[in-house]
Amino acid sequence: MDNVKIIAIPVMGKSTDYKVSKLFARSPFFIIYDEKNQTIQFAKNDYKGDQAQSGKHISKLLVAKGVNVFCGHDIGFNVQKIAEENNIQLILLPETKGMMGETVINMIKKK
Amino acid sequence: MARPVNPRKVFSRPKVKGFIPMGFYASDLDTIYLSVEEYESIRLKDYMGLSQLESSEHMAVSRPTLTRIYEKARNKIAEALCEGKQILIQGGNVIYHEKWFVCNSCSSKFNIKGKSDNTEKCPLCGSENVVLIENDL
Ligand SMILES: [Zn+2]
Repeated sequence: MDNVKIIAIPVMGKSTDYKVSKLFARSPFFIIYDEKNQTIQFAKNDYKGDQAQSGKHISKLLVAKGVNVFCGHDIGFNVQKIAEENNIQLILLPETKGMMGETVINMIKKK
Repeated sequence: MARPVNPRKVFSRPKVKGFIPMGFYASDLDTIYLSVEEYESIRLKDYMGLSQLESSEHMAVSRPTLTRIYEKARNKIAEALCEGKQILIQGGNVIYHEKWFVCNSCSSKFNIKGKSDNTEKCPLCGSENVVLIENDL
């Protein structure tokens, strides 16, 4: 059974110091955090300007990178659909304004 | 035969079941029923400030469908405000994900994949103080 969580967190820039994006699919970057190895990678969202299909495309890209948890404030239906098809867990962050990528990672680390 | 419409899954459920008017002319007998989809269109467009296109993508509906749902929602809310009617949020072409939990420690919500024995931990903060969200509010 696969217990290793690889978590995608949408952030406004290529650093953990940036805020978590309001919308998952429209985020310019994603932190990809490997919970077991505690490693951080970044994925650029080349689809954020794709007005109709960004959710679908970015979800598939994240799945291809081994992500099995999507974590964000607001996750649209297209992303939810890909998540369901690929057995991806969804975490909805509280509606705290200005939450940083690092804050989320620190919460996961401290568990 | 009409083509069946795929139900849309939502998890951004409304926080309350509805709204009650106050004052002399308030009527708790007349009720406006706002569907969950209609509520969602208001939340995305007016509360989150998304464009028509972004909202339609978020709800996985076409732009004309989104416009129709949104217009209907606006009309219903206007009627309730101006005529002092109560609003109940319920129904619509939506189903909720099977098992969602809310963490009482960090307020995050999460779903569970596969089998669950209801002794879940929050995947974010690790708290065991989590409760299953019921489909009915
Ligand atoms: Zn928690």
